[in-house]
Amino acid sequence: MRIHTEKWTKILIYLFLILAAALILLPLMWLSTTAFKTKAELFANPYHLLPEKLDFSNFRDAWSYSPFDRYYINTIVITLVLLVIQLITVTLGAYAFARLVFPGRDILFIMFLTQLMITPQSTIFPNYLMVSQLGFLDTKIGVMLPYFASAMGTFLLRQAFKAIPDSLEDAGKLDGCNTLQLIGHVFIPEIQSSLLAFSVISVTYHWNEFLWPLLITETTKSRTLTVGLTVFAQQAEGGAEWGLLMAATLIVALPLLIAFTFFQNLFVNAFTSSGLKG
Amino acid sequence: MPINNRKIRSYSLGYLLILPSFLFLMVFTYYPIVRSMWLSLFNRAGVGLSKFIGVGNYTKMLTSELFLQVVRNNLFYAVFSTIPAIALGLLFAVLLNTGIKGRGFFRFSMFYPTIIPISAASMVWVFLFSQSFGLVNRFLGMLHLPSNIDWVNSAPYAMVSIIIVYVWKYAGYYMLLFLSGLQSIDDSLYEAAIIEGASPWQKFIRITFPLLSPTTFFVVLLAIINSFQAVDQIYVMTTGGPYNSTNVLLYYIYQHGFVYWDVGIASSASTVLFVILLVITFIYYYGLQHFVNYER
Repeated sequence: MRIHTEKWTKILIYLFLILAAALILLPLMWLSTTAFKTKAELFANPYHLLPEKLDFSNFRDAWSYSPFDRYYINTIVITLVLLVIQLITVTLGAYAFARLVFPGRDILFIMFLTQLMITPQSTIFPNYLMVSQLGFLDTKIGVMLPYFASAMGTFLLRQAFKAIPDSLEDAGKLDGCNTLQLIGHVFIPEIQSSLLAFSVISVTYHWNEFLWPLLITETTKSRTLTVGLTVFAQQAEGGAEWGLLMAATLIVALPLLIAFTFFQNLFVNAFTSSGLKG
Repeated sequence: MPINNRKIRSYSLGYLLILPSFLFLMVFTYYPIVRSMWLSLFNRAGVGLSKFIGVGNYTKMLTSELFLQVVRNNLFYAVFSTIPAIALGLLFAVLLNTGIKGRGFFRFSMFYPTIIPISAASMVWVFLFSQSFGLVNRFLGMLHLPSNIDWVNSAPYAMVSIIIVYVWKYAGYYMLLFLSGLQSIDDSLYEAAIIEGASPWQKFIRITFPLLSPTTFFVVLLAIINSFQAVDQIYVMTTGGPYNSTNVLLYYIYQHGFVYWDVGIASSASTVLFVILLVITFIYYYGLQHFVNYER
């Protein structure tokens, strides 16, 4: 009797999870199928789950109407340059907070942590004024500037630095390493996984970011993918251009989707650690 | 005094290493806050000279029906997006933790919304919510429910649709945080409960929920903060409308700062948002010390 109910509970759990997963996957599925439907097919039977045949014309057209290649380059440059700068500022800061002693260290660290709640969104307006005064409007630097320092990253890496045993540091010092060599040769190999986790979060966040680059960028010269997509949508508006629009949307979301598909555990671990520690 | 020299050198090394981060935090986090507080005391709409008006902008906002509506909208959005997103996240996590098969697939399906741009996803949602040939109305029709709803363009439904997008986006992320919280609960507790004949519900109420409280508490904070920031879908789907029914604080700041160029009001609203986030964080840390079950 007991085994019987357990079996039914299990089946109910599966049914519920499958239904929930299907609903959450629906936008992705709808996005993918609509992008591959021709305009005629979309008009004739908009609700068919699968397109009659894979038609790439929406992608070709979307790409020719809008400079997505330029947006791609901009987005890649912004996310990667920003990541390199963040890794430097964050590693140095985290090292100091974790392994050096200096007056005011703890107060300064708490000041750092307040950035976790002063989210960039609540400062978009004054930050825009600042970027504008520095003359960085409509530049990639302007998009990156407010993020050069990361409290979340400093916090994440400080934990990692703290977990390294002193004996390792002493051994490095005995070998005559200076501080930078110590960080580079002794510590970095030990904190690799935290660096990777931070990188995944940073790249995801800045690839997806929308409001800030929308304000800073004005032309294709600096525009990112997410902003380019809404500009494209505004141009394509006023008709059943859904196939085109969905193709463009897929162009924007695809790199991270592929990365997530192949490195699911990496993303899951990164976001878990950022959530609970940051 | 060789020792003191060494000390000073090691001190300055510490300062030197945090200097780059500190500099950027100063310029792009602390200074902007002080600056928006300062600018909020001046009346400067559009181009022209600014005039010191004290708390004039704040009284203007607090007596404007629009601002009050924006605050009400934001509270509504915060409460009714946070609750279902967290409840679903917790439910998914608990169910995935029962040792079912296909965990990887479920985790993928539920978490992928977190890693795709919400501005892009909102395009899909506009399509799904479309009145004449959107899938949502189609499903409602199949269930014999009202199915001619103009989701993103009519008053109560526009807010419902941006809430649905929030829940869709974040439930999987909260699930992930709950999953990692669940993993830290000692299995032997459940084994003991089973021996004593506890039902699954009793196990959840007596063991899982109390021991998960630090995670829950953190997720609640995160979810509330997110609800003050998640405006990408508002920009794409509703632009705050219709009749400001989906206009929330951050969107209001965006409008006044970048559409109307009202420096004073944008700065005052930024200060209000900052104070709200500060209060939430303060409650969080206070709560963390006083109410959360840390028995592990």
